[in-house]
Amino acid sequence: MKRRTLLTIAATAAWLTGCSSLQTTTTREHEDLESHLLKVERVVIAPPEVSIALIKVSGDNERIASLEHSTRQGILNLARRDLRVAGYEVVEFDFAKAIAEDEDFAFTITQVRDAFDMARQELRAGRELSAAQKRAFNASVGSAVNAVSARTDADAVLLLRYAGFRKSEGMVTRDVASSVAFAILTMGQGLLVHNTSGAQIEAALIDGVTGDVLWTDSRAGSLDASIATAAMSTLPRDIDPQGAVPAAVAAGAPVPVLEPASGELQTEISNYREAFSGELFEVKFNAMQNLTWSGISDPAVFDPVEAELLRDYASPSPGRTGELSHLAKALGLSGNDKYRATLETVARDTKAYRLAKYSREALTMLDQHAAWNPVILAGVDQPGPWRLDELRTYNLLMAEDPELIRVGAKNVYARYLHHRRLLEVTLQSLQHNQARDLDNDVQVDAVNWLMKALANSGDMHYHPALLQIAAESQDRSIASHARRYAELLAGLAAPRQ
Amino acid sequence: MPSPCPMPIAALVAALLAIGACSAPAPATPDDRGSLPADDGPRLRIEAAADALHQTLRRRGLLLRDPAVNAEVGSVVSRLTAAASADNPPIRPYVLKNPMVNAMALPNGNIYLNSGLIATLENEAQLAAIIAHEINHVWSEDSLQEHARAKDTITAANIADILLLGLANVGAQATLAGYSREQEEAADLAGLRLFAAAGYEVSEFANAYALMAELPEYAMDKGSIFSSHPEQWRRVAYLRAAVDRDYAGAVGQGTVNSSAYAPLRSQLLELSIQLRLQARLPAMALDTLERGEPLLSNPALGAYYRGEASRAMADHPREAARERSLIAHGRVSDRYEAALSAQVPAHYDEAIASYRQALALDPDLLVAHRGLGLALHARGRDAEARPHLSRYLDQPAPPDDARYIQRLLNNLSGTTP
Repeated sequence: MKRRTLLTIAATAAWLTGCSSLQTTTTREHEDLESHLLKVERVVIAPPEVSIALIKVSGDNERIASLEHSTRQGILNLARRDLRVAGYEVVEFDFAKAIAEDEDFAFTITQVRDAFDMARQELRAGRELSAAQKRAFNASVGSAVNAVSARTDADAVLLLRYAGFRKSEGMVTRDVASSVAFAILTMGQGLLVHNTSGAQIEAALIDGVTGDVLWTDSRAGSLDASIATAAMSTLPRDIDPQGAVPAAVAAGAPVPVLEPASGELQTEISNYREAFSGELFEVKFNAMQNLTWSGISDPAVFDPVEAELLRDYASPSPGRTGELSHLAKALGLSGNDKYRATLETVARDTKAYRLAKYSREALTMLDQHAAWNPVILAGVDQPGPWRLDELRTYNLLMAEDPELIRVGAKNVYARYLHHRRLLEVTLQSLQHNQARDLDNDVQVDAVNWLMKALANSGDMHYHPALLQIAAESQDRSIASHARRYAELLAGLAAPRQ
Repeated sequence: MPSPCPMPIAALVAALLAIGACSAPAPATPDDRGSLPADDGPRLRIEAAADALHQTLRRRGLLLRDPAVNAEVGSVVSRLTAAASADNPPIRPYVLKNPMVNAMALPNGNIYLNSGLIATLENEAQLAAIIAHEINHVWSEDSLQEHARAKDTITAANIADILLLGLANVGAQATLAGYSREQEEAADLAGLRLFAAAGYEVSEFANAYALMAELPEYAMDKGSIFSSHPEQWRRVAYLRAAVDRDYAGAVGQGTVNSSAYAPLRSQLLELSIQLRLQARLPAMALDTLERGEPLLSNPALGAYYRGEASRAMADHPREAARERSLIAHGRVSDRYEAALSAQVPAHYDEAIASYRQALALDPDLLVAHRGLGLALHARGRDAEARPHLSRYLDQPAPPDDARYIQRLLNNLSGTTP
């Protein structure tokens, strides 16, 4: 096979398996959103459509009914909370009963969903959009939605659809084999990355009278509720007809207090434990990537890692050394002194040089994360306004350590560019940190990341702060970045030609 | 080419079967027909998947619950199965609210006939021909055999579909919701025997398939048993040959029943037009109308639906362009969209003329008042629109979209409500 062909295959694979680095948005909003939201107060959540499949090598795929059920409940609860946080009144309506009693009503809901599928073609057609271009749509599901809104006495209907998969262990093994084969085929030019699980969610707020799609977002990612969190984070806030400002703010209403995020944390811990207790390194590697800034120190997660390390560290094969090195680093993420002796033993006694080296690094990480993890999960046991991932981001932004602030800013940049409350926290952090004595590069970089996050939000509310820093900062790098980001923000917020 | 089906039921079927289907201990081959493994596990699991699919269809409100329609279809099934062996599983027919021309059989004995299919067929005998074919799929356990053969092919298709928020499971549909050519032919010939034994006019069996073969492909689901035209004509040929060979003396002797079938066809024709309009497929709605306008219960309805189609083209020129492309087997073309966008005022004017024609035939056709009001409003003629929209709301029970029309009335320019 010619080298050019191989490179084409590799590039195609990279395109298929990778993701775009463009700063585009998955959010779409109605071009006349504000005037619609003036008429929206009560929102009903249509029954979420959830399908999750266990993919098997044999093709005997199964629906994972228990996971579908828990996911359905999970995203319903998230949506309910997020609607309330955004200032809407959530209409509680027993759809199951109504559908069981009236199949015509069930058909109406199906028609609304089908009509949204058609509207989606318009909403998702064409080129990718920047955040500033998201409000340029005039799609409608038609008046079929009237029957739903009239029956539920709601002003708008929230549609949710979630589709996910998880591969069986046999399927994962086959993927690993195909990755190896592909790497050989492309002489190392290509790497196929197979996700062991994945999901996609789509949420849409539909005007219950006109059928106009007011807002929609679609996210893909891991098989859990995090994509729902990300999708719902861009939900527009309700607008009070009296003052055309967010209703909750206008009324002086506090942000609703949520249940402690510790419930979500326990689910995460359980998932991590399952991942680290399995046989496949690919699964563990994925878990490690997500664990890095989780703040988790729970032995339930790390004990299986320690056990595996202790079992094989003495004289591992070359291939196994790489895996164990990652496990040693994972142990460092725990910040839990319980694992210090193990890491010291491995660093001292293993015959594998690389494993010894990473175990020493893990000991350093252990100390860092001993300080960082409690900060990252501060308040997790308390009721508050944040869900778990938001709470972590909030804590990171409000931390004293610039390393953590930088991570928090990156989180906002990657996931919360339209989350007004976290953007406000980002602004607060920026104003606090840019005024401090900046005596190292990490501090400067953290401030620059905070500005980058605000600039990419496309929200001109943050423009004055950037201009002020550009004019007043004594740090040349920060002043220069502030000018650049102010220009970027103005460009993003400019109306589309 | 995207599916023109507003409710991808066949895709849903495929997705559910693909996800919910089960394993067989060893793949069956075409030679296995009639000698399936004794293990009932696969059978029970695939039947459970079929039951789950039925519940999904029910929960989505896709089953037509019209007593007259169901009684008519049920009577055809009863006639066909009257002499059946007690060992055969009972057949339960359902009509789906779907304008596409398709039918399907599931291994639990459920047979689903799309409303679009029934609206296309010309008489009871042709309906019986299709049902007889589907009954034989159930009785010969084709689903189980086809699933066992196809199961290794579905995994990749499934992951791709799921990642695409996937119910557009065309690949899996082709293998799971469909049957092999051998199975189709066997079901045809066994169906013909059943059909003839029930006393239906034997020539109508092939006529039903000839009718399908003459339909445009966009009228059918992908994977529909009627969607391959060369295959359809081949089928018509061997069915006619079978009639000539085995039933020559019976030609012209059996039941056709066109007149009793007409009301059923009329009702489902109208439903098909409505479903196509809701799916923003106005040209296909017009095509359906043209094939059956004389059957409509009210002559004014033809003009009304023409108005609805014209208004839909004007309201949604991009979707109308997509539909044109679909019909022409092409990619969505800017040329279509530009042309249709330029015709928006003309389409509204056509709609206004059609609605007025409908109201001239039947002044009490309230939906025509609605359409006329909306079209006039779209042309900026709010003062003319107001009385028609008000008239539409002036009925004993408020229509489903009363809120929409009332808000529009409140916002009409020119005069106060």
